[in-house]
Amino acid sequence: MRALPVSALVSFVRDLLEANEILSDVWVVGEVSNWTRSQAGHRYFSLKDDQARIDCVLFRTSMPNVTLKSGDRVFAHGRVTVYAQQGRLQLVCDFVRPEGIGLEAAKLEELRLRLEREGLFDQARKRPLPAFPRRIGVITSATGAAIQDITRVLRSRWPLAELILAPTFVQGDLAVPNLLAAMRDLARVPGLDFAIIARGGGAAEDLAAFNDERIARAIFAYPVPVVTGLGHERDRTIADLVADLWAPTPSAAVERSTPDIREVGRRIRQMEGLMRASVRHHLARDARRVTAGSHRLRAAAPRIDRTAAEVAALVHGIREQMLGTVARQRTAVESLAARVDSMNPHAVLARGYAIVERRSRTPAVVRSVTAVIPGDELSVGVADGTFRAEVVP
Amino acid sequence: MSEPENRTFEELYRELEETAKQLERGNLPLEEALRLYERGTELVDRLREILRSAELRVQQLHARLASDETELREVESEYQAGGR
Repeated sequence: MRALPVSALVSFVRDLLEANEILSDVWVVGEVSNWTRSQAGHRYFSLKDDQARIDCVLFRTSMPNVTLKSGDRVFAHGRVTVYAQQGRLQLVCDFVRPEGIGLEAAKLEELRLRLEREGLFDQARKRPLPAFPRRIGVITSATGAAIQDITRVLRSRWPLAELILAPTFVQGDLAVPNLLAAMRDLARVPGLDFAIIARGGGAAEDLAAFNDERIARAIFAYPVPVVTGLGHERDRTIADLVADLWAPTPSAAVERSTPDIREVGRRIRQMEGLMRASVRHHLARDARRVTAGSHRLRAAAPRIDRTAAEVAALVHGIREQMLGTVARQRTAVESLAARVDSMNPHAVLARGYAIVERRSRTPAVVRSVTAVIPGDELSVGVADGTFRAEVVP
Repeated sequence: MSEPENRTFEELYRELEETAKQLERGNLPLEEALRLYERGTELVDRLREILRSAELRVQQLHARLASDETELREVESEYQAGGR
């Protein structure tokens, strides 16, 4: 086996440590010594007990406000690695707290901080609830006080909704997997508006399940908004912080997530009144317009009378003018008729003249002796009729 | 106007709000104002009827209060795989 360069050896050891699941997410308890802060704001210290010590670092971005002093006993959370340049084992911390608060509290605080940094509690990602929910899911014990309270309040507040209970344990060792299963089953119900996770205020406050990271992430990823009503008055649980809406009790969860049917009825009555007032306003406006219109008409009446007289005079003038024209024209027509009359051939016949027409061969008016030959049949027209004649040889 | 039965309370309520708002805005031809008022009254009646006849329905999903830890662990991992 060939010799390894130092850097290869150290990074090999570092990789081994960093790949270890326990060492990459570990809690340590010990006494602080050599607390120093670097120019860059990182904090270096050691943790020790009576037999061992380990170098620690708390980088600038992790818990920036924390200051410790030698002799403090703390819980620290972090990952174990190797600081290669000096070949030293190092605990890179992301959380430290005095031992006095207890390990459970320290763990809860670490989780809270971590999820907060991840954005699970962000106000901006809280989803709004529908104004008039139709289908509300409830995740709670089928036998607890919570479901009784929720049903009672919902029945009086917003009975338009349908309540779908997904039963689950809310306490004990099975609470977390049970809650997850109930949440999953409920998520499959179509048309769900939101889900209430509830727990009756028991005597012993076992809220462990609602401070569990798995439940927190399930709420965060839930397809519809989640409302919590976990029946406790003290600090909010992680579930409360992730939920889209938080309430201290199951009843309050319903009150904060549903409209009140009486309030909605009032609002409808209000709109009805507004509409009635508006329509009255429109009617009044139109009535005013009609009145104003008739006033204007009356004011204009004298002017209209005057105009009518003018029009009548004008019409009279036009009529006179037209009558004059007609009379002149009639005279002209009569003289013209006289002249036309004088050209009427029948008037000539009356004076003893006759019109002779040849009937045989090609009929024609006879204007010359050369137009007839002996034997031609003639028709002779006089004033009061015609008679036949024949040309003699 | 006949009302399709399947319109939700919310849809009818929003239409009523819109109708009332339009009427309030004023300055409508009288005929249009009367038409809106008539429609609004229909909506009010319909909404009142829904509120009056509402009765809470309660359903319970099939209980999965398993005592078998193994099955629940499976549920748990399946759930988390399905999450984000």
